[in-house]
Amino acid sequence: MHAPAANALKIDGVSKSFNDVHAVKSCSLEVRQGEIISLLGASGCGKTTLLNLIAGFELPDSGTIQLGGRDITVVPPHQRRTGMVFQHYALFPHMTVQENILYGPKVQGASIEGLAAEMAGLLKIEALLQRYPSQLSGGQRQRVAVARALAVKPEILLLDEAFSALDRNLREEMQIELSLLLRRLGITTILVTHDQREAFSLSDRIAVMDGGQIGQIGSAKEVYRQPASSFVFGFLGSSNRMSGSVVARNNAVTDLRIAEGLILRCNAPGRALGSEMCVGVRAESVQLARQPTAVHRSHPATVSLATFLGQTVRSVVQIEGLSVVSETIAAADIELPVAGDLVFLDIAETAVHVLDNPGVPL
Amino acid sequence: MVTGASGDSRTIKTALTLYAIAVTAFLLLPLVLAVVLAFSSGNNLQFPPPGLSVQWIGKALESRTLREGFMISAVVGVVSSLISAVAGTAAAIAINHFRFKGRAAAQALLMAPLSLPGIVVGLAILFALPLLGMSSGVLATIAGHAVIGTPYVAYMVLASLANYDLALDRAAANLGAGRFRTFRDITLPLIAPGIYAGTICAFLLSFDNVALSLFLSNGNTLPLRLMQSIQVYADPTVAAASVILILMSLAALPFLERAFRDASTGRAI
Amino acid sequence: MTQAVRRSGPVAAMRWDGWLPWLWLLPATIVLAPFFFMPLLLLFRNSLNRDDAVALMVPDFTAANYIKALTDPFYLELFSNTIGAALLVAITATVIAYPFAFFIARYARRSLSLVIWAVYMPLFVSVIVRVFGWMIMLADSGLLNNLLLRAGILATPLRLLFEVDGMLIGMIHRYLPLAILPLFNAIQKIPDELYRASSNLGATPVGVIRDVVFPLSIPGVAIGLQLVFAGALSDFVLPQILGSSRFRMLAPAIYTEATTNMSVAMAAALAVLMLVFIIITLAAVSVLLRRFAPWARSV
Repeated sequence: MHAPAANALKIDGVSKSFNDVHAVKSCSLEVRQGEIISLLGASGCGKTTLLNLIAGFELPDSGTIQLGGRDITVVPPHQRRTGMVFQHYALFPHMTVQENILYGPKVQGASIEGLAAEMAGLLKIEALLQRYPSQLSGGQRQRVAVARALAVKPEILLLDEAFSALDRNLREEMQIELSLLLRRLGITTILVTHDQREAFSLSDRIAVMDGGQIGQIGSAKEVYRQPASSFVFGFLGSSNRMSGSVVARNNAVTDLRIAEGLILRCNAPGRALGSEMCVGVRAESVQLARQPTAVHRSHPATVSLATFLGQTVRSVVQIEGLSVVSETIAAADIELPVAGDLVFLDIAETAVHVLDNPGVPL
Repeated sequence: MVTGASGDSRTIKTALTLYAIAVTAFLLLPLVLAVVLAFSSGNNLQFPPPGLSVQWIGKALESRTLREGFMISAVVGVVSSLISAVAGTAAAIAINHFRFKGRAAAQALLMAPLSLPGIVVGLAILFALPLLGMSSGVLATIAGHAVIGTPYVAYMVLASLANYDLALDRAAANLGAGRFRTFRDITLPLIAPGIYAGTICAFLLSFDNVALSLFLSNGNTLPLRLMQSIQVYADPTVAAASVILILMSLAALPFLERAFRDASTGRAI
Repeated sequence: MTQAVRRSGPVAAMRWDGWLPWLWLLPATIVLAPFFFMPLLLLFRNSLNRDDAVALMVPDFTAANYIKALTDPFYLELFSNTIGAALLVAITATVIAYPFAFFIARYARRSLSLVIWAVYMPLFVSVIVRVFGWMIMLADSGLLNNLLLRAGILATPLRLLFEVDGMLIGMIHRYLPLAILPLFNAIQKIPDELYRASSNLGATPVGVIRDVVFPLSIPGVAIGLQLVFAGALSDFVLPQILGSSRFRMLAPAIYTEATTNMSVAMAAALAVLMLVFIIITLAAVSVLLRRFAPWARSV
């Protein structure tokens, strides 16, 4: 599906500020033909501004944007050939579904022969063509919005939090369907979202944004397992942050004393004995053992709260005044932790991320 | 709302700005002219005036007809707007807080006086006065103006009730407040801006009313007396009286501003 | 969306307080029943009576007044004058108001409250003052003639005051805010996303206005037209002060019939006809709306 090396979109050092607030700070991004990329971040991280810069609703203060090899940095939005699906869909309330879908090709002077039927077929909305948007459900509106954006045969499809208005079940259903459709059509897509699941389930690569900058870009596995920064680590998944002092070191392995009775080993070149280090461990990497395990030197801990979440159990464990969150698989044949249990923490050294060591790549 | 940087062309915006300034000038021009003429030293509608003086302001303040008209209009305005405030607020609460049979009809009937021409309503009330044992005069004018003021107040209060969360009433009840306490402590303070604005509007409408007063007031309210003097001899006395009327409206506007913002950004009209 | 909030959750009106809403409605009923509803019925009843030179009004049950009003050239001219003027004023005011309302809804962010103020201000200043301002403007020695004479455009002053033109200008000024405000509301409600969506789909700025803004503002246009038409149709002050005695209008005519001419029943019939004209336009506009903006019902 990835056509090699052909860049559909190239963003180069783009910045944008609003009244001294730097919404986007020298962002660069290359999107390959047919690739689906997510801009993932909390609200205010600049992801929507970046999308608006691509669509042309904002003009950058500096930097350039190329679409299909053509410089579109200052091209007005109506000449850019980007297809956008808006957060609240922005369907024209005074036009029927069919009129909405055909509006783009009509104003662009393109052929509309059979187009409405084609788009309706793709999105399975054949029966809705004569309805007005006010007569549609949320999921149907989203389908129409996607059909309308695809009808202009865009060079790139832009989705702005396009699933956020749907209920959870419907949202996952639409994500799967749209993911399949976009891959089948090979449409280059940029998706703005604050929802990690959505980004992971839809996209080839994910750009994690913070403070107007792209913190890391890579596949879901890469950004999750090898976070490039403390922010990326903390933003994805649920995690524990701890700090401790170096008590032993040996080549690439360092032992940290987090609390009385909790010593973590991590794969990092050690620093001076006694120096402080900050590390992070994801909740699902904190396993709870009934018996002390040989590899790890941990004291028993007490479960203070155990919450059954269906697939997993989330436990809050107290060890020498420190709270650690653990998330373990809740398989039917395993005895689940309950409050008051005595357990031993089992944390693999590969799961310990060093967070305050910018000099060393993770 | 962020305006698209290049989505709207700059030329359109510049042209519209100039146009908007022209329309604003058109809207305010007559008021400005009346104010300037009030300080004219001439004795007709010559504009620009030959010189400046305050003689006409003095004449307006001395004129017995105008002073009397002002007093009558003030009394009619105050009393009728207070009646409207009570009737309109209560009616708005009935419409907003309750779901009952005939509610839609009650609302339509309540608002009906707003959509009927004043001249028709005035003539109709004139017909009814003998049946009610009344004759034209201050009392009849007060009643007539209250007919217009009541739906007006109800309308403004409904606009401010649109943002009113009925869960607040339940919260108050849950905390132990009875109906009356709830109304006094919760509802009334929250809709007070709407009531004030509606009442001030009702007063200004009454103070400015011609169509009803024409039939009911024996020609004694200020607008009617001003109208008579304009038709007989259009001299700057009327302009001087106008200045006083404009000042009154200006004084009222700050009170109305918030309610209008509610009304124009929200659900009104 | 805010509508939904307002309409949501009917209050738990419990069985035993079914009378409560009517209690809240009582004060309004005391005002409106004797001074509005009863008078209106009486007006209608009186319009079926007969005027008599000596006995003033004679009880009767005849459509004679209506027949006379709708056949006598004197009254027909009155109606055509009034309806024509009201239509002209309504259309002109809407045309003037449209770009202005678009501007304040779309661009006047910083100066919005100031501009809205300028729109409301004339509404709250006595109509007499506004009319007087126009007299100063339009008089033979007034501002307009002074300017035109000095600029050498005219040799003799233009007759505007006490002519139809002056009256129409005054009416447009009086009712312009009533055209602006509903339009402003309608245009302001159009979400920013729709502008972006249509330009994203390839519409030029002019195309956005033509294809999206204008159709969506049609309900606002309709409300404005109705308000201005009804206002101008029943206006008394402007025809009376600024107007010409050769161009008779309905509201002053009703007043004259009822007072000077002592034709009370005829005045009642004319007043009922004025109501009928207004109701006909309301109905016509709502039919047109249903035809041209079918989506507006469910929005």
